Amino acid sequence: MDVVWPSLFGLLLAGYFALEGFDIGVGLLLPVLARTPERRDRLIAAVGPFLLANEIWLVALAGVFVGVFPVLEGEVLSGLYPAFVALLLSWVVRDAGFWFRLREKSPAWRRTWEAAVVAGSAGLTLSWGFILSGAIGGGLLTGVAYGAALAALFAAHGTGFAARRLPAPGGGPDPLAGAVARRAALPAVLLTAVAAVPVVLAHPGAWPAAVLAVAAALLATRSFPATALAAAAPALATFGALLPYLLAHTASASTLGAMSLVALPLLPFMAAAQWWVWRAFRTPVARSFF
Amino acid sequence: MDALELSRLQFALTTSLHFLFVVLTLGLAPLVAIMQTRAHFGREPVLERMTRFWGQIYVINYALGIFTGLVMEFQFGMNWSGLSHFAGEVFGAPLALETLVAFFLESTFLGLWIFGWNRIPRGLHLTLIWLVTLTAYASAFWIMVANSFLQNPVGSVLAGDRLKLVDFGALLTNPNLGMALGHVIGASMWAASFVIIGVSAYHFLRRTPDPEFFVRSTRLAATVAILGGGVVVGFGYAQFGVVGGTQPGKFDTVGDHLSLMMALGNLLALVSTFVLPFMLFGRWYARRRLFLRFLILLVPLPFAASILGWLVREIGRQPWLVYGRLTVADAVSPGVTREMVLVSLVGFTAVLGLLALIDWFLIMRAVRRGPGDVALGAPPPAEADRRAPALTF
Repeated sequence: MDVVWPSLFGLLLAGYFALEGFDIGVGLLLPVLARTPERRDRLIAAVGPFLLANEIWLVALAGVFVGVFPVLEGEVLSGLYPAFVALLLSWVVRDAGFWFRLREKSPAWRRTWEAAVVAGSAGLTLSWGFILSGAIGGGLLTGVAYGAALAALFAAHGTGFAARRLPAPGGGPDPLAGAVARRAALPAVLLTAVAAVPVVLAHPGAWPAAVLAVAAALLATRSFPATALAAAAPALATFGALLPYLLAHTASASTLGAMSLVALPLLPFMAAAQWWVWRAFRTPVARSFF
Repeated sequence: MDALELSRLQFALTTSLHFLFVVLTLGLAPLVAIMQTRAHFGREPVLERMTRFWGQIYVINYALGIFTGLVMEFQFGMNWSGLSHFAGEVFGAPLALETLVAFFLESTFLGLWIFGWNRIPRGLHLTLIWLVTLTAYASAFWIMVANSFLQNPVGSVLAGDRLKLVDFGALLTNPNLGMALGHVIGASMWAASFVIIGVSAYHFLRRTPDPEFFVRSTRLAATVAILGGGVVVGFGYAQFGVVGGTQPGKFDTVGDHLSLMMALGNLLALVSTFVLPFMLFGRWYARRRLFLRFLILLVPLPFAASILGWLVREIGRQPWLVYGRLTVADAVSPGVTREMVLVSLVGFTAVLGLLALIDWFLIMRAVRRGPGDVALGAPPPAEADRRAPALTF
């Protein structure tokens, strides 16, 4: 049994939620955090340089999904068809908001694409709620509960990130973003606990994953790595609940071996490229393209 | 139309839209990289301005390549779960490798390049555009490996009701791969160079007071178009033998598309062979208004020919999804209803179609603003103030 590729799948899943979680969180709370055009510029510029490097984790996740779990990929994507349609449309609309917003100077043009960022981020959050709950057999209510938990976790993660990226005039983190981050933490824990209930009911064996997810949500007030872990917790809980099933459906050794031959030597370069992004943009860019 | 027909239409629309943007991305990336390399070593301001202007068009165009690409990647599993069920162990490997080792790096490097102007050291920033180019071509390679497997399913055996990968090397040496990849690369060289030639012609017509910029751009693009002509025509004709061997009768069903593509290709080849060489010297064309208008009219042709080329390759595969092994009808997702596909078809077509129109509008706006007003790589505000002419009185 191959453990390398299922582990890589789990890593990409967790990495996607830990990284895109703050892009989506900032997008969700854009109207709350930024009331003036200047502040919206600064807030979007705070996450903009990371966007391409973050969302690519999902592209890679979907690619690895078909390579490592070929049968499940088709079943999951076609089985949760409406949720994936919503995910893709939200993703495209959110990204268009980022790419197009600064291309024209009129205030109405910019407000339109800021609305696209907010709507797309909300759609992404809710779609993920339905996908993560749908993957363990959840229905409409479970999907909404999952979506609400994700919204709170992303909000805590994104505002915490924004607070540190937008220094206040007198030094220290941005007071408004900091206050929202503190206020998002309690709902994040409560909603994650609520969303964990159906996971345990559907997969009683998955209770450790659910407990760990709620415990991780408790970190939602802390530093960046802690909120990142909290944002990834629901996805990891679903992954944990499904792990025995996933492991029983991996591709043959010949497929995984061929993929290992090409991909494993390149993993250090992928890690280095991602590290480079964080190093190059450790301070906000003076003039952003998004 | 039933779920099968609607799924086919959805895939055809998304793929065609995707390729319209991707063919320009693939062609522009090396051109921008060459401009930036010459700007770096030659230290001529005009080359730096060329890098930023054409780089900005490259980047605006790139957005729609991503949007349509995301939808395509997921469509395989959503609409064609029969394909991943039957051939996922073979077809899935190049797809996974494309996203993981090629596009993952490309997207990360592109973000660094776009936001790294005036921040990342010049030499490293130059390295980035070459890394973006390299990984973009690696992406094209893996996608063509996957596509060529559908045309000619080598390296696999039937085990029960599913294909198993037995020879990964055979996928990489598929006779349907090399010639087609070369053909696509030639087409993208044409697309990018005819865009640069057409946009430059537009600015000559408008008498934009920057002739040096557009003469230099035209000369580089004409060189690439002449080379691209040889590549696209050579690899195009070379495919006839290969396809005759692996998919006999393919061209009988797609005769119209094939003839139209070849007619467009021949026209562009005539221009590349007998007109463009003269544009490598001097700037005699800068005042020939009729000739400049003709150059602008050529811009859509490489794109039309590229789409026709894909239609030939993919319609000629019918009724097979995996040639000789799995029909398109057997590959459509069993649980997905006609209504589901219809709603998603309308949603994707409306959203992607609208965003494509907006993107072309933005490209044209960037073209019209010209090299004097480029956001990509603009110096930070404080530095821009210092560089501005001193109005001290």
